Amino acid sequence: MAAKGENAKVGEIISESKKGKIKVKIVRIN
Amino acid sequence: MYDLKLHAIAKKYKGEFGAGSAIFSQTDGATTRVTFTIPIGMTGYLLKHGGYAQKTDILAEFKTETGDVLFNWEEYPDSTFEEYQLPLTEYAFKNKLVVDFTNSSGSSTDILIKVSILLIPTTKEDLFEKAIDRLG
Repeated sequence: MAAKGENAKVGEIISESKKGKIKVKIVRIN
Repeated sequence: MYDLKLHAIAKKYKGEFGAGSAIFSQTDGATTRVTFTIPIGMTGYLLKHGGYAQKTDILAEFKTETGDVLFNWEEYPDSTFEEYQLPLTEYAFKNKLVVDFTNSSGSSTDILIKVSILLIPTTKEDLFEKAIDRLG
């Protein structure tokens, strides 16, 4: 899987996923 | 034996072992937040944290949902994956575990993080922790 997010803007969600009971969210915040 | 006892106690209190991971790219000076959300009514115990980046000068701040800092991982590994086991029951959280990454390396990098979390029903949290204490 290629990494994403280098060009993300502040506040943008880079990815969201769920595996089992744990959700993972990646957001640029600054 | 430690892991076997932990598994036996976790089973007794209806615990579940879970893992979460993330990979992303981050420019110099940027901050990226990785949030691990567990089900309502569960208490999460952070058991292990691992990861690596391509550059040095990456800071990872582990926090609760309310912003309380659990610990800072200041020398984030570069080039080689490293994983560390944490003291059991010391890093507990409800709802969300937040990890803020700051890149001060001077250039872009890819960052990988992996966490292992034990989920215990919050109603059984005290009994679970007492059972763990008795192992000591």
